[in-house]
Amino acid sequence: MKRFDEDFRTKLYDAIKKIEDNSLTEIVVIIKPSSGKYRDIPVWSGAIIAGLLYTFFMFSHIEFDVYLIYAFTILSFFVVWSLVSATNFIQKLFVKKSRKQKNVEIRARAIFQKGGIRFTQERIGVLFYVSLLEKIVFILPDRGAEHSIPDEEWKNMRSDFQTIFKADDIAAELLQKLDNWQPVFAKYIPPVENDINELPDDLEVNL
Amino acid sequence: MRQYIFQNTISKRKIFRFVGIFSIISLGILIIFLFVPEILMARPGGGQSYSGGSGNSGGDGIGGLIFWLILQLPPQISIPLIIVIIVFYYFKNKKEKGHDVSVASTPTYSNKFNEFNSVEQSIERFKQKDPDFSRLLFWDFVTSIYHKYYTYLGKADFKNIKPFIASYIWEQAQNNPLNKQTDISEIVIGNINFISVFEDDKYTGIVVDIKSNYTKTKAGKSTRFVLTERWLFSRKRGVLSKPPEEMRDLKCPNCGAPADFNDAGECQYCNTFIVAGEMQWFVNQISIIKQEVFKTQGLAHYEQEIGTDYPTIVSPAINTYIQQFTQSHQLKDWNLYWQNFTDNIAYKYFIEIYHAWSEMQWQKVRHLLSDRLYESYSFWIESYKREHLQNRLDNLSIKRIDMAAIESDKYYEAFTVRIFASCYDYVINREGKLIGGSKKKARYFSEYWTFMRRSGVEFKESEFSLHNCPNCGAPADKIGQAAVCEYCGAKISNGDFSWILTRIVQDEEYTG
Repeated sequence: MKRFDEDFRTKLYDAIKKIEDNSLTEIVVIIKPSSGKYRDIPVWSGAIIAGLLYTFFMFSHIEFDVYLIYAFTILSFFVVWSLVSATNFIQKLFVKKSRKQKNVEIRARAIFQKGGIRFTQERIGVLFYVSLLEKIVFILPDRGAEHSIPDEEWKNMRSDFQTIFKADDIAAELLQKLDNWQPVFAKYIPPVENDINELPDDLEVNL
Repeated sequence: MRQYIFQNTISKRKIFRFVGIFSIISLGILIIFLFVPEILMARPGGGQSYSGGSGNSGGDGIGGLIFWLILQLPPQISIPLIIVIIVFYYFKNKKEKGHDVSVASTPTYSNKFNEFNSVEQSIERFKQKDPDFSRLLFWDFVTSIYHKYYTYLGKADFKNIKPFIASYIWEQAQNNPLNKQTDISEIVIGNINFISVFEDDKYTGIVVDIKSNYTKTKAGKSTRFVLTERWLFSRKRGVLSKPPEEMRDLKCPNCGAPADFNDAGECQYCNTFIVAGEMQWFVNQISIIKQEVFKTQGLAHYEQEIGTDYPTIVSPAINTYIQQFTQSHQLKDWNLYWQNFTDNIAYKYFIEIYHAWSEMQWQKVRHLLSDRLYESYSFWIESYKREHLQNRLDNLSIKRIDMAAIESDKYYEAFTVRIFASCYDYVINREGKLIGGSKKKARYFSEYWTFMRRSGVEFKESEFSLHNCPNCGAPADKIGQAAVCEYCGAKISNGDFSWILTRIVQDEEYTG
């Protein structure tokens, strides 16, 4: 999350303001390190390695001290558990795509509800939910926004935002994408007279 | 160290079985220990937990067993095992903390500062076109219409605010059957912030955020709500602001009589049809951006202090206003005046007001506060009293006072200062038991305080007394809730005689 520092957040707010100044839509961007805890993956990894090691101790021709058998079995479990817990790589590898997608969608929808993004009068709020571990950008428009922009544009937008994970600098790429899609919001959801921002600045997004 | 050498296959099997079963049981216990940390942590230090927690009584036993198991192992195994467990915990906690961190598109200090500058500049530009505009009077107007809107909602009197509300809002409110079944009372406005000021071809618009709370009663049951609402006020371009008496209370913008209109918006005194925005501000849009039920548990809840280290937000026009203030009051030395102001007004008010807060004797400082501020803080004091709680601010000391803004207009002048202070901030119950905060650790904080007084008032700050009526000099012991001195009959809370505290904003929330 280090790359999403104060400077990035300032630019993100400005990028959204640019969209909102030229459109009636109200944009919220939330970036989360992950959408699920996937605790079972490190446990299973630790248990499998501990089991394998214990099998080795059991059937090896080498004679081991009982303390070693006891300690190494437990140690191996914890070492593997710690390593897998600390690194996202194995979790990414072993968690099914469908599970990741489901978790991201549940989180995004929960934030949409809890953050009150649905409370705009014209229902024109749009949530961009970026989940880093799962590498998914989930775009969730409210009813009004969904109706205003053609489905084809939403599809293109979704697949375009998904490409941010291919970039070296995800943060910069996300800002670039927001900037690129600003004219689409301006075209399909143009600003109206006396438009006021209806969402609070301090959105409640922690679940 | 004891060593087991496997002598034959029978003893080998037995030992393997024993080691295997023992390892699996130990592993299971350790997994429970790591997955359910509260089993061990439910009663830190031996049972000071608030909960009854009878279900957790076995916690010490499991912890003790694990501790005993580790002690049984030789040091070359137990020490690495402990290290591994510590490393594991470190990573686990780091990971879980990281899991909850999120980045949201909320404004940073830099964004807020830019927006503050932009709003301040637009207000200054607007004041060039409307020299009668007063920010403080506008706050009064917003307060007045907000109170009446919710008080009259669903009642026959709602027609009296018709000329001050857009017709679609009025119709929606009138046609909503739920409004007729609901009564809104005890309306308290905490703060009003300017969000934007703009002009289009036809109208001038001002968007404000109103932080408030009120009680909604339906079918005999009451619920208190805490809200943030965003209201857009509009007025026909070129219309000038009204004088204080027409801004503080709703009056017919044509004849100045108290607001009494029929359903069509016709004044019952001058028979003029008042079109919204033709002569006075009207509410053009209402948006509730935050709403929650007020919970008394929050009274003793303390969040980590944020914003104290933010740089002071200084108004872009401050130097112009200092010059203007120096000239209009014929000051020889601004710095000397500023010193006098901080020593005799800001410093003394701060200590006196928070002392009254701490002692829950809000009435004692009635003459130092504007009506809105008095009402707003009275609500909180009453809430503490209802829950038999007291918020104490002991050893209050001011560390520094910074100038943030000066503003003067045709009717008022206002100073906004940022006060850095520290105190032991805590909440106790009726028995004196600590419920929240700390009596031992000082809390450092800063707040923006806005003082105002009527333009043209010449009152030597060095001669100011906190305990006397600023008009007649009599003791300030007979000042009622309406802030009228019983000795001279003057209303003090309008700033007509001396400085009045009109606003307190937390540092992280201050936007000018």
